[in-house]
Amino acid sequence: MGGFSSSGEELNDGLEREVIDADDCVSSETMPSSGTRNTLAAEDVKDDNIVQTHRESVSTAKVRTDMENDCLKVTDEFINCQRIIRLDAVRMNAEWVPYSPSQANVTKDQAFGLARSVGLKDDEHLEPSRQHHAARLVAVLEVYALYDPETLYCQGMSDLLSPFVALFDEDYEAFWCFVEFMNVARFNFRSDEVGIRRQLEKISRIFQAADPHLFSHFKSIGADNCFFVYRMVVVLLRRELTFEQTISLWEVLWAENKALSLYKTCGNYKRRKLPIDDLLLYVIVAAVRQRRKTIIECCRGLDEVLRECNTMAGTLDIWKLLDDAREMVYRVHGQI
Amino acid sequence: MATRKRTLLKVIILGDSGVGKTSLMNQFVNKKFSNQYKATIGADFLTKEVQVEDRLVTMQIWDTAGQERFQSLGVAFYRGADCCVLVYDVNLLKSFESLSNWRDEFLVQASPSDPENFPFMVLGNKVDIDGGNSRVVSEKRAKTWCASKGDIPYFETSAKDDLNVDVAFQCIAKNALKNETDEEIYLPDTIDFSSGSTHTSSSCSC
Repeated sequence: MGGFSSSGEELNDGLEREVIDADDCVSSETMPSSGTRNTLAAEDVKDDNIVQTHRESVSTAKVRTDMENDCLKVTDEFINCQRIIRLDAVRMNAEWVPYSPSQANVTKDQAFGLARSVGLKDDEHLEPSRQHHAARLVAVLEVYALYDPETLYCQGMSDLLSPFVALFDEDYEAFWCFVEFMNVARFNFRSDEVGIRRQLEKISRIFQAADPHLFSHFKSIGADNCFFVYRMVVVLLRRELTFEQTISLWEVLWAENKALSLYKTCGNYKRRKLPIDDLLLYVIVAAVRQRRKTIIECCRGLDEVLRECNTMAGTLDIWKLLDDAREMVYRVHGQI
Repeated sequence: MATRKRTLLKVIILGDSGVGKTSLMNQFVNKKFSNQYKATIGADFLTKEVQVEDRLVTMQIWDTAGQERFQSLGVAFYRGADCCVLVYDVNLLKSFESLSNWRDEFLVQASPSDPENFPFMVLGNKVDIDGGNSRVVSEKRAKTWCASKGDIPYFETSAKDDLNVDVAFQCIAKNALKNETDEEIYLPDTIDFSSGSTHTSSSCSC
């Protein structure tokens, strides 16, 4: 259990080293780009020795400063990520515990040891199973941040990882499943927000095609940007569904994607019930439509629609949502 | 409808991840504290009726995500704000240093009609931690910063111990109301202007 536990420790040591390296940037000659720096300086000065010395020092100083800034920036970003990862890890709830008996029974010592090895703090109030879970989340998320430096860590990712950590006793298994999962989900976490915006625009088009009456209401109250489903998209309905529902829904979505890739391989595009790659968006539209009467009659602004959407936890039946979603897919997917 | 609009005060809470924005809001509205609030994704809000002098107003308090990556979508939610509450953790220097960015970002995104006099409030949260021994930002330093930004009212709070939470939000309501009074003088004549309207928006006598 906890295959990354030692890695977590090493990672921490690695980070400390990184901090020291960053501090040493100015004097260290072992930094990878020091060769580039000398080449640049040398190209600048060919003729005059006196000028050469002077210009080299100026040029060197500039490149050194840039390098130093880059190192510090990367380190700063990582340290900030690390802080937020630890913060989010200890805030995870215990919903997964009944589904993972082996992890539910870790000893106090095991949990404490692992938590300290990954530098977890403010976790004294957690029972051993949750402390252990939090420590594993930290270990996997920190490795992921190094693995995918463009994404690093963004809040919501711990929601997505938690089920994998609960279901797999080995960190490396949870990690690689998470990597596969993030292949698609990472676009929602891009810092330029292009990914999430595209998803919201698509949801807006689904509403427009599948439920024009509701869509025109959204338009009249300034809610046609569909910002009210932002959270549902980012964490794939994790906050609205129970642990079991989440796993079931996600499995359906993965099966759909798998089926899509098989269809593509076979070249059979003419089937009416073709799988699609954004079934989740239709499921989200179906969830919102469950409140359409209230929304149309009572919601007079984006804030009121958001309120409806943020209070759906525990009220959804995923099998009904999937039926409704598929009905919409068959009806309007061609127009989207 | 005009009267209903008048009495709704929109308050936006901003600050770095983990400084306690959700906790402060929940302590004020629900009188509850938990260290298990999940990270806010996107935005959410709670409402509470408060009495400000002789008026009953509804505060709509917006809790936002602390990570910069969620910011551009937050814009839709900042518009029409009556007050902006900037929160930092007194034990975390970076969260204090971010206040300027949050303030600037808010002014750009919400584009209030009178940015110079828009009511802000700063809360230094988590003063309970380690009996104050782990704090790295002194009250004096925070107050100096607040003074340099146009005398922003400042409170030191603990959402956990319910310290100064009510009094801070009362002050927020009062300042937000003043701002609204200044902006919407054309609204119904049932509003009592006899007190408060001559105060400057940066003062806080509560």
